[in-house]
Amino acid sequence: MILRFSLVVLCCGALLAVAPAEADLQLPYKAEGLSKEQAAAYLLERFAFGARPGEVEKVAKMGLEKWLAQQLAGNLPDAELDKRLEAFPALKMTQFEMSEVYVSNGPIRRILQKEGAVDPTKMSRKEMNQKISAYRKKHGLRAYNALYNQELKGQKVLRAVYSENQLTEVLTDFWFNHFNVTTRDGGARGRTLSYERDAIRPNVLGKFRTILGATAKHPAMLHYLDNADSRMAPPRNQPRRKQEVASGEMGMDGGMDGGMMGAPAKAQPPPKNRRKYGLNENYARELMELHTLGVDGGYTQQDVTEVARVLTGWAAMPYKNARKNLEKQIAKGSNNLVREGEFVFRKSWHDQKAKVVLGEKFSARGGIEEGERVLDMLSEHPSTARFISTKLARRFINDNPPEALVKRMARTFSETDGDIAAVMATLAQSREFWTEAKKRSKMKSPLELVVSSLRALEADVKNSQPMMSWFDRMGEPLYGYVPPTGFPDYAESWANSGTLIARMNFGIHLATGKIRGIELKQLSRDSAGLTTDEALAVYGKLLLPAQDTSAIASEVKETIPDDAKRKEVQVISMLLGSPEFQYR
Amino acid sequence: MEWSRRAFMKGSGLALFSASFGGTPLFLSRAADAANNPLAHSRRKVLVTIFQRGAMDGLMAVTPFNDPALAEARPNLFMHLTDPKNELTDLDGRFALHPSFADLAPLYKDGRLAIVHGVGSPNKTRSHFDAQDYMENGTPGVKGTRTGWLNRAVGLLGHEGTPFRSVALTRALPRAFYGKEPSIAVDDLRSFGIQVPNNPQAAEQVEEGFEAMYARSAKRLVQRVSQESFDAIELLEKIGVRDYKPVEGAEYPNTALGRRLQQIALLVKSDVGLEVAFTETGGWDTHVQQGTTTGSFQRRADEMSKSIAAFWTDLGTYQDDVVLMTMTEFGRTVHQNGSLGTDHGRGSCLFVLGNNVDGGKIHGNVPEKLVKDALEDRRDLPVTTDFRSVFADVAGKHLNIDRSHDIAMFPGWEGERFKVMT
Repeated sequence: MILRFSLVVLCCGALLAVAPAEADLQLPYKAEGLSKEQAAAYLLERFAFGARPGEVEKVAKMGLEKWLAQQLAGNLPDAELDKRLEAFPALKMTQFEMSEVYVSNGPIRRILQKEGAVDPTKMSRKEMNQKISAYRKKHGLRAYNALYNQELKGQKVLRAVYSENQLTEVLTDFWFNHFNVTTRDGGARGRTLSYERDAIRPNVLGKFRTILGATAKHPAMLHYLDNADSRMAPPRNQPRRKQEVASGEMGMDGGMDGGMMGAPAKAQPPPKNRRKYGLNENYARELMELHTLGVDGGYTQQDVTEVARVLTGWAAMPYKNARKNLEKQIAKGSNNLVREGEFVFRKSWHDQKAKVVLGEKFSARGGIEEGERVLDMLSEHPSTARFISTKLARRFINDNPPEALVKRMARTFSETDGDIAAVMATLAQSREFWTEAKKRSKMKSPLELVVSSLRALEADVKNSQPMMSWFDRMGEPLYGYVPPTGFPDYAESWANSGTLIARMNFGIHLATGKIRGIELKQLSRDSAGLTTDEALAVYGKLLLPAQDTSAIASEVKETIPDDAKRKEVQVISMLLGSPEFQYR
Repeated sequence: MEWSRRAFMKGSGLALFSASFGGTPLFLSRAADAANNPLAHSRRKVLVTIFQRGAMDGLMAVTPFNDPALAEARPNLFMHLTDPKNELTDLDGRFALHPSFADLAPLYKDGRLAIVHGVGSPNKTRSHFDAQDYMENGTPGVKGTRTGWLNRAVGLLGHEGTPFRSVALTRALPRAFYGKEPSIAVDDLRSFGIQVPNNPQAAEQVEEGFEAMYARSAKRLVQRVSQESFDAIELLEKIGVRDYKPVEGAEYPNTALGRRLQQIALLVKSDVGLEVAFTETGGWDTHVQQGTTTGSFQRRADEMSKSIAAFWTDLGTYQDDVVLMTMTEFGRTVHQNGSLGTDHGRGSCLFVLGNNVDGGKIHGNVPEKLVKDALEDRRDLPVTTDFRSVFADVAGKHLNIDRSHDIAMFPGWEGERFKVMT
C-alpha cells in the first residue's frame, strides 16, 4: 500500500517537473489592494535584483504571470550579458583547464628551480620574478588570483546586473549561499568558479536532488568540507599497497593554500606524504544539518558518523602526477575507480562494512551507490522539504516567514519530488507573499543593494573590480564567508553601526562617480541642472518605483541647500542611502 | 530638540559619558540601564589580539640558539648567538629573541612579556585556511561552528557594551568575531563616518540629512542602529581620531599594523567601551628566502615589534587595563627547504604582554634537541600546548570570565587553562 502511494507521488512529481506555464499561474496581488504597477515593482524586487528603467511598466504590460513563467523557465536569450562576459576567459574553460592556466608564482618557481633556471640560493627575488614573468608569457599563464578575484567576482556582479534570467541569478546567489564554499579555502579557491557555473547555476530551478548531488560531487565542496580526505581506517597489521601510496596526493593538493606553496627541498628530500587515514565527518554533518534536514531534522551524531562512512571514497580528481596515475588506472579498467568529470569514487578508500543510516540498513560490501542512496533519502525526507521551504520563504518573503505558507511550500516540495520551480510558484501565488508588498520588511543584502542601484540607474559596468571592496565594507565579502552556513539571511546580521554607514557611503560614492569603472547612464549631462524637486521626481521613480516617496522627498529637500551644485547627485546619494532603499 | 544632543556633544569633552540627561548617546544610556553594569564611564579591561597570518616561524622568532640539531637542519637560517652580526637577545640561556623583535626585549626583561613556545592546534592540518579557521572559531577540526571564540568571549562578559566594545581593525569582519555580539570591523577608523569625496562640507550636510531620515524611519532596526552609528561617528570626532598624536616616545612605524595599533590605543585611552580588539598582519608565509637578519621574516618582525612597543608606550597609565596577545595558525618546518625558506609546520610561539602577565619567562615545552625523533611527524616543532588553553587563561583571567565558562568559549574543549597570567 505504502509502496503504491509513493509511486503515485513519484508520477505526479515527474509530470510537474516542467516549470509552471503562464496559464497555470495566478498571482493574487489585486486581493491585497495592489495595482499592477505596484505588484510588478514588488515582484521585480523579490524575483529579480530590482527594476531597470521602464521595466515596471514593461512587466505590468506583458502581465506578471507571463513574466514569472519566463523567469521560472529561465531560458531567455542573454546577448548583452554574454558579450560582457567575454572579458572572462575562465568561463569557457573546464575546471582542469583553469588549474593549468591560472597559476600562482610558487609552482612556476618550482618548475624553474627544477630546470635549473632559477636558484633561490643565488638569485635575488627580483631576478626570480623576472624569470617567472617570462615563463608566464611564454606559456600563456595567467595570475591565479585573477581567477578567483577578478573573474569569479566580476561575473557574479555582471550576471546579476545584466542577465534577463533574473530569477536564475537570484537563486544562484541563494543556492550558492545554501551550499556555501569559500575562496578563502585553498582547496576550494580555484574550483569555486566551476562550482557555481557547473554545480549550482544550471540546477537552481530544477530538482533539489540534482543540485544536492552536483554539490556533493564537486571538488570545491569535497575539499572545502574535507570529504576528499575522508577514508576508512587501514586494515590492521597489513602493509600499505604501493600503488595507493604513489597516488596519495592528500594534503598537498587540497589542503594547502595557493600562492607560495611548500617547496620540496632540493638539498633534503621532502617529508614523505604519508597516507592519511581517518574518517572526516565535516561534510556528512553539514550535509544533514545545513544542506538537507536542518539541525533539528531528526538525525543523531551516530547518523553523522554513518553517513561519513557511506561517503568515504567520494573524492576529487587530483592534479599533476597523481592525476596521470589515476587516469592510467581508469584506462586500464580499474574496478576501484569510478570517475565522473572531476569527481572520482575510490573504492579502496571506501568503508565497506555494513552501516545504518536514519534507521535504514546498508549491507556490507557496498560502493558508490550507497552515497547516492543517502542523497535520495535526504532529498525525500520531510524535514528537508520543510527546511528548504523555510529558507526560501525567508529569502523571498521576510525574516519570519508565515508558518502556513512554509507548510504549503513543503507540501509542494514533497509532492513534486523536490521541484524548486514548483515551490517558487507556490510561494509567488500565495497571499502571504503579496501581503508583504506593503511592508517591504526584508533588508537587502549588500549584493542586492549594489545590484539594485546599478540596475535602477542603468549602469554601464566597464570594470567590475573597483566596486568589490564595498562588499567587504558592507559585510558581504563575495565568496568570502568562511563557515559552511553561508551568510546569515536576516536583517540583524547585515546592519551594524559599521556596515550601515558603509551602505550610505556606497550610495554617495556611486552617485558622485567615485567608484571607478561604472558609468550611470541615468545620470547623464542631460540631468545636470535639475532642481531638487525635479531630481526627486526622476530618481524617486527609478529607485523606489511605484512607491509613495513623499516623506523621503521632503527630508531630502531639507538637506540640500538651494545653492548646491548638481543637486541630482545629492538626491541620488540620499535616496540610495535612505532607509527605504535598504529594504525590498 | 532634534539637534540638542549633537550640540551638547560638540560643546563638551569626554564628560559626556557621565551625562545623564536626554543627550546621552543611546548606547551609553542603554548600557547604563543595565542593572549589572558598572558606571558607563568606568575603565574597562581590554584584550588586544593580533593574528599573524601565514604562519610565523616560531623557531626563528624565539630561537633555541644552543641546539646543534637546529643548526644542522637550517644551514642558512640558523642564527648563532656568538655571531655578533646576529645581535640576538639571550632571554634565558637557551632561547634568544630575533634582532628584529629587539623592541620587545625590555618588556620581557621587565616581566611583562611572556612567550609560550610549542603552541598550536591539536588538529594537524597544514592548510592556512583550515588552521586559521580553527584558531578563530576555537573548535579545531570542526568547521561548522558558526561563531568565533572572541565573539563568544564577549558574550560571556556579563554586562552591556557600547558599539566600540568589540572592534576589528581589519578590512572585513574576522572569523573570530562572527556571532551575535555586535562588532565593528573597519580598516581605518578615520574612514568611519559619512564621506563625500573632496567635499567635507557636503559630508556634514549629508550626514545630518541621513541622521534625520533614519531617526524618523519606521524600520526600528535601522533606526536604532543608525543612531548608534551616528553617535559613534560623533564620538570618534570628539576623541580626535583624525589628528591623534601618540605620547612622546611612542613611535609607531608608518605601516598598516602601526596605524591600526595606534587607533586601538586611542580607543583604549578614550574610554569608549572597548573590551576586545583584533587586528592582523600578513606575510609570514616564508617559503622562499626567509632570511635571517635581513629578508622577509625580518621585515615582518621589525614592523610587528616596533608597533607593539609603540603601542605599549602610548598606553601610558592604561597599561594596567590592557593585555595584548599574538597568535599564528601554525609554525614552520624545522628543516629549511630548497628555496632558503621553511614550509608549513606545526608548533610556533606566541607573545602575551601585560602588567598581569607571568612574564620574563618562556612557557611551554620545546624538545631539548630538535632531532628528527623528537619532532612531530619527524619534521615539525611538536605542538605541546593547545592554543585554547592559553587563550582561555589570557581572556578568562583578564576579562574576568569564570573557568566554568571555558566550555562555552571553546565548545568541546575540556582541557585545563595554561597558566600564563599571574
